[in-house]
Amino acid sequence: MALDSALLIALPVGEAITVGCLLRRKTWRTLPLFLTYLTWGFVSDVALFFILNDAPELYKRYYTVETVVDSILMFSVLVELGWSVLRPVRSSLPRRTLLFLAILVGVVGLLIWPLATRMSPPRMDAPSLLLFHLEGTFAILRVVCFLVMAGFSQLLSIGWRDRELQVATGLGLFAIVSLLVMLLHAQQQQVTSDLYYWLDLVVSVSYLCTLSYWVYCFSAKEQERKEFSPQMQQFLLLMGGGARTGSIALTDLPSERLRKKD
Amino acid sequence: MLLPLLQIAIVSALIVYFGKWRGNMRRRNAQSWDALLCQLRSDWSARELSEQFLWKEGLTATTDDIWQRLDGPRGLWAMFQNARVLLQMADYASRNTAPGTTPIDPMVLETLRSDAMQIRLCVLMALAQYALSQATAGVKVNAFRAANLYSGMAARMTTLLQDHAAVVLPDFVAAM
Repeated sequence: MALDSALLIALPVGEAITVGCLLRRKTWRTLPLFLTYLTWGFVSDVALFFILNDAPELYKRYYTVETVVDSILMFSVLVELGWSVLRPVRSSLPRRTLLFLAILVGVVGLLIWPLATRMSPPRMDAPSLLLFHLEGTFAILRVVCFLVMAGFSQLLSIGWRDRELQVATGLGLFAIVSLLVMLLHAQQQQVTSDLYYWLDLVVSVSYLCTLSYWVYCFSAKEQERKEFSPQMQQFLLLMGGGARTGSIALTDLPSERLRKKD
Repeated sequence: MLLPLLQIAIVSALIVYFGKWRGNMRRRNAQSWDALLCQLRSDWSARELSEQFLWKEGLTATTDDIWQRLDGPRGLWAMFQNARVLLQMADYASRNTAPGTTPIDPMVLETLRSDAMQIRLCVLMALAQYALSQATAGVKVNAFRAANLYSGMAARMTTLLQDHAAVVLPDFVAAM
């Protein structure tokens, strides 16, 4: 139980530090919903601490509200991340792409729901089972969304910026661990067993690891810019069909660069 | 017993794929300009596409001719890979333009990305159709569209080198 208590304190502390790092790096400009998600995590974990100590009878109601709000926020974070990845090609997309993206994620979630309901631990009451299925649906949805985003960006060779990649890595790791634990939970005979409890702790520890990873990434400066000379710029200008400027000469372009191709 | 094992195997495969994808993206973001240039395919030449390839934009041949000159799926795949390098170059530009210097026109990057992505999409469609039904008219039309975009990009590059870096022009022509 000592680990349980330690996590109860460590998680909100980790979330507070991560939110602080995000605010300091101004990442909230590009990923505001992700910041909201972490802030909500901090508020709900602080509330959990007080509920468990002072009013344990409220726990069940708290857990229901927390799970529903968490799921809604996770949905919006997935849409935001997908939209953020499409940033390089946004202007060539139709106006309603964001709406389409949100609907698409919602539809995928609805398709996953029946799959999640097939994985049920025995001897669980109806409200708890509903929450278990909701959590299961989002565990699968997160993994599916990351798979689609990774596959799609690989296929079309869309690049991810460092911050988006770090957010996706953390969420992806947490999603895979959650999914794995959910699958193991579904195989268990009793929800009151020690193993069930320890598996839940694994999810919390993986979330703490994710927070630590984000703190490490967000506290470090972004990768230093590499050389991008006028010659390189001119190369792109011409390849891109925007031959507007002919003023910058390419006379000192090292011939070795092209020779390496041979 | 079989189902849990299958589930664990799928999740393990996911972890491996996710780790590999993450590693690739990280490496991609850390690549130098020279490394990008070296990735342009030089073992396949697109000079057969047009009599004035590299010197004039646009293709005048028929879709059947272009399919022959592309060397079928081999040429399509080379264009697909070169388009990826061009997209990475656009990313490099938007990531590494130093603050305070004249930024590269976003519209130019947009055009470059759009052209490269269209090439990749056309090639993918052509290859998928080819896998299902061999070289039908639809395959050849998609191949023609990809080749047309590709030859336009290559011709603009040649103009640049001819005007500003004639020393490296023979290398470029040989590589293309």
